Amino acid sequence: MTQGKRVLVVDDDESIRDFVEMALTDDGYEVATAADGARALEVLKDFDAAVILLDMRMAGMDGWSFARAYKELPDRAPILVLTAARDAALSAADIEADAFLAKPFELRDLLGLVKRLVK
Amino acid sequence: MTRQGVKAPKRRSLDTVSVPAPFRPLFLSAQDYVARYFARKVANPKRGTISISGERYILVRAASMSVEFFDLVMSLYRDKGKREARAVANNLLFDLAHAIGKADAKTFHRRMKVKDPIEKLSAGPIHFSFAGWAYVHIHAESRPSADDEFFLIYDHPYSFESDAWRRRGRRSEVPVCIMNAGYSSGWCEESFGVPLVAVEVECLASRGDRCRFVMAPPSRVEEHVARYLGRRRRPRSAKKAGEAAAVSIPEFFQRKRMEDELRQSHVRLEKRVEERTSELQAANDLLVREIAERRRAEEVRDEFLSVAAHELKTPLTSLRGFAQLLLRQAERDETPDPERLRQGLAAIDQQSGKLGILVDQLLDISRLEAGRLVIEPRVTDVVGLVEAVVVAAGATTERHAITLRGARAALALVDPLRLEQVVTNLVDNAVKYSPRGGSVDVEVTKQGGEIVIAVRDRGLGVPPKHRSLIFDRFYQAHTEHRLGGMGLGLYISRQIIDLHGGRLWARFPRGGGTQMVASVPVRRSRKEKK
Repeated sequence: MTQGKRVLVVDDDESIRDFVEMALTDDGYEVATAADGARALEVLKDFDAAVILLDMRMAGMDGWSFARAYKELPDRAPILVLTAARDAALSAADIEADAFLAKPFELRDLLGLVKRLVK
Repeated sequence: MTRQGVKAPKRRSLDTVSVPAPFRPLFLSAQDYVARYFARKVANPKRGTISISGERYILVRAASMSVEFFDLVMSLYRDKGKREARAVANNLLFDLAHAIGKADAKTFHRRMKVKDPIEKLSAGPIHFSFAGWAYVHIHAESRPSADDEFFLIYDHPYSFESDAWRRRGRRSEVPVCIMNAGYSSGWCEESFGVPLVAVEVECLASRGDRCRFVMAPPSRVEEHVARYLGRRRRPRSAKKAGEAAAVSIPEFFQRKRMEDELRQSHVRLEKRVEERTSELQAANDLLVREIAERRRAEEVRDEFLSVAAHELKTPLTSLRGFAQLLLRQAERDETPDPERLRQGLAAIDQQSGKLGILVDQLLDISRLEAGRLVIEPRVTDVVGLVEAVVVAAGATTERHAITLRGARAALALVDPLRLEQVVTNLVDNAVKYSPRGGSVDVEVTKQGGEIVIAVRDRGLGVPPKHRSLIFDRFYQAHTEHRLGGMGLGLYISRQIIDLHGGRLWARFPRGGGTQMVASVPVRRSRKEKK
């Protein structure tokens, strides 16, 4: 059951934020977006995310810094790393993420992973 | 205990040494001094001492230090042959006498408080005669000087050495006054401060008419001896011809010379080793630097590939994302929301445009590296060109106020597509590196034969330590901001402006931000001249 589950999308590329938001909304998720780690932390103050989609290389606060700050918070949602970096798996391992997808990815794979993680 | 002549009679004439006239006064006063010195002679056989002016002396029988000493060494070294035995005896006696001569000279210089080399020399022969070694007759040709030119020719009448041989009725094949030569050269060496050697060129004990010596620095003595013998041999009969061979340079000095040469060659060798070592070090340093540079270049290239891949994948992600999103709707037979359709297609259009620019940059780089980037100049309205770029850039941002000032029109012979690429790069950078917005001032002016395009932003600027690098290939001034791009823009722009025969540089105004300035000549590009 995905209805009403909240997903936070953190990516500095507006175009990527847009289509990911559209796809998730279509599937019944409630979506919030942030252009960097600092804004994501702001959003999380009153957005109870069930999963966080996280880009690593971002202008402003990047994925690594966000992950460090996020670890300090009491209730944590699983993190799905979305990165165009050569070593996507390594980046995910770096921040002890729950899953990763290398960009460009299949929409199907993204939605499947999110569905699994929100449970 | 006996005391002899406590008050020595003052001698009015110089009779204990014979020297050239100019030296006489000096030697006369030395004679006074030495006479007084020897006048205070106290022999105390009950204690076994002989003392002269407070210095202890010993008496040695002359024959025991000459002919008998030779005979003793000859019998000891019988098995090694006559030559070897004689060499041993000569070296021992010469070294010993040379050392005694030096030590005596030092003592007298101190006692007499003399500084001048000739003064220092003067007491030597007189002490020599008072001590019973020999009388000394210095020839007028002598040129005693404290340098390489030192030359002394002198006789030792009554030499204790030749005398000892003759008293035994013995005749030697070679000169025998070895200690005489050693002592006198030792004293002179100490007096003049240059190494000196004396060779007996004629000896009463070996068919000579006198005991005559030549003294000179070791490097010069052979030449003086040869000259002396050559001069003498001519008027003489052939039977004396063997004499030259019989006169030998004391081995003491030959050895010393060899040691000197050895030391010098050692120094030369060390110097060569040092030179080679520093050459090797330099070569090694160069190699280390080259390896480091190559490694750095590899790292930069590696980093570039990773950045380029990231930059290419980002628009690709949106492209595929929007395409799949729209496809999914189509497959579900849903009627697409017109707004979503428009947004998706716009994103696909925009992202593929971005990809195109990135691919163009990669192609430009590969052309530049191969030297194949060419420009195609045409008469172009530069103001119109810049205006088009400003308008296009203004449409992409709401936070920036991009304005154009300056000349109303400016024609120049440039490659319009390439110049547009440069101006777009500069304006895009101004927008990109002022993320909080603000004004971007673009100005086109004519200055002499050039058209100058300046783009000023009020953004992040460039930290001073990075300023020299911003035109480098793959360089990004704000990696910490990750503002995207491959770090190729300014590098390519500068190359394009260079190909136009112009210049591209950066200014960092006091008010902050960056001003990029490009100048291109109005008439001819450098490329065209070639």
